[in-house]
Amino acid sequence: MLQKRNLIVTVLVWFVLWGLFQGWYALNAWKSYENHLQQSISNVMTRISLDVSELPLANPRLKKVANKRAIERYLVRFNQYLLDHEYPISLRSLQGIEAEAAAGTTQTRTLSLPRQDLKVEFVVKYPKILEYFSTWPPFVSLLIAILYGARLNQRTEARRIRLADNEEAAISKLVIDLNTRELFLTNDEKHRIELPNKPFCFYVALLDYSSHQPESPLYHNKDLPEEFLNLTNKYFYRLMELGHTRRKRPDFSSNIDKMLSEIRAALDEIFEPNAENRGKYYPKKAQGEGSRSKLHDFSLENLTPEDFELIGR
Amino acid sequence: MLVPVKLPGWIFLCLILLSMLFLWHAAQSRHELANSSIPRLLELESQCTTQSGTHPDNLVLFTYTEYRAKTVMQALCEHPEISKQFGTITAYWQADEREVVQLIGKGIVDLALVKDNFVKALQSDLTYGYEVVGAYEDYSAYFISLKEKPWLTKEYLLGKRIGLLDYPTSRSGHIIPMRMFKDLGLTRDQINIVYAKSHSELRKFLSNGNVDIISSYWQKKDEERFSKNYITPLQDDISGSKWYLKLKERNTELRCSVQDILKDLTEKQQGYYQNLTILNPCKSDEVNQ
Repeated sequence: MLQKRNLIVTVLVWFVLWGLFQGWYALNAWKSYENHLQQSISNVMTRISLDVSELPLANPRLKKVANKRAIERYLVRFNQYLLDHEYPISLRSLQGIEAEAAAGTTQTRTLSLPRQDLKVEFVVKYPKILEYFSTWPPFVSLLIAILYGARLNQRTEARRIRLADNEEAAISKLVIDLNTRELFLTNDEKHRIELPNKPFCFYVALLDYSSHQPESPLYHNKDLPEEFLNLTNKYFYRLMELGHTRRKRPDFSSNIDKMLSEIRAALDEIFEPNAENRGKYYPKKAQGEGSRSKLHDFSLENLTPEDFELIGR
Repeated sequence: MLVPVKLPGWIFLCLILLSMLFLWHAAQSRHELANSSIPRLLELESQCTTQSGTHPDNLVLFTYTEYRAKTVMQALCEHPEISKQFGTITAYWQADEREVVQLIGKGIVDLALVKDNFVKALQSDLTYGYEVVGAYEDYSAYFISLKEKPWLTKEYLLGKRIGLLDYPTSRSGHIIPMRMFKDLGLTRDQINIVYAKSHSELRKFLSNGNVDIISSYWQKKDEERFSKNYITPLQDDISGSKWYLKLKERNTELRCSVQDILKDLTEKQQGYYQNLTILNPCKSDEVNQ
């Protein structure tokens, strides 16, 4: 049931969404890291600022030199804390006194102490490329793509059914060719049935009358309406024009049952494989006992002028 | 593929937005600083509870180095006699002179290892009753050089790189050599002073060749790195650091206990701090009175 085209589209959607989600994730991961980095730097600078008064730094005003060992010990302790708490930075130097720091890009900040500037150098550890990727995007996008694919399938199925119906509807159109006195269906133009002139004209008039005057019944044991007879005559004269006959116009009020039988037989043959579609074209038979004497309407119901085609009017 | 429900178009937009929200959250939660601030990293004091731990009184002690302060503090906490009189022992350590002035000058500390010039300058012994319970040896100050014996003349010292301590209270490292320069008529800009923070750092400067001469004490261990022939005495009888104990009452027990502890400590020491003289040592019958 999975059509090839739909599958390709689904896979394409999967990759596009994967790319979109991955890009979105990477962007947010980077932003998150940036925030984390800024917060880390802020924390570190705050801690140093708080400790500065107790750190034996050099003080040119008082002709004091820095206690290198004490500062180095402080930096080592500081870096151990940073390492233990997964900070993305480590201290490289304080006022020029260095400590062992990890490899990476060096950044400098300066603290404006009341009596001097204090230069703080630290090393920034940037995340590896792998940290910008996540395993979530492919799965989430796959899920959505699958749902989308299912929907695609639903719609193509529905469309296919609709087209089939349309085709069937198109198939079911009846064509009446006045040039050849033939009846056939649009889907099967080879299968043609010829009717003799009288039932042919009667049927064409019946189609015309029923489609244009839907609520007007036609009773086989009552007089036919004048409009209907006008139509039968009109079509007979047309046949004469087309050279099918030179005879006198027949009486369309007589032998209605015979005409209807011939018509029904022809329709049965035309609609042979899909008998259910002949409904609106088929003059109904009288049912039950005593049907001949009953009032029976043989006009065609639910017939519109679009349901049939007249060639050679 | 059969899906039971018919999926409307807008649901995909919702799913995509939800996914993006989820991924945003996932990216955010990768980096979260556990604590928003860094706690104290510098340790400048320590405290311990004595064996009894109930007495409200606190004994405060002070030395220059963290190691010595903690060692004495621990020994005091474990001493049975001290435990009778004190509930807690607090130890301060600080090499900076400004704190020493406060601690001694205001009588904050009960037991301190300091140079006697501090106590004399602040007259704390008279004000707060600081008594010397133990004293380290007197020592001498020398100019020490690597390759020749220094002369104490203006011409010799002119332009030399001389290593001193930048503590104005240090006698062998600062006061005595500076006075020597003045006596010789040398001005500050005529000599190249390089400051160090400790006597061991001075020695490092000398052996590395950062300075030509240093001013310091001399101990036996120095013979391993330097030659005794290349030292010139500047002054003798410089009083060593002393242990001062603040005694308000006739608290003999305290004095004797402290002296015991200090005596025990010298056994673990090397070099200069091995020679401790106990002043007015306790006799056994004095304790029993």
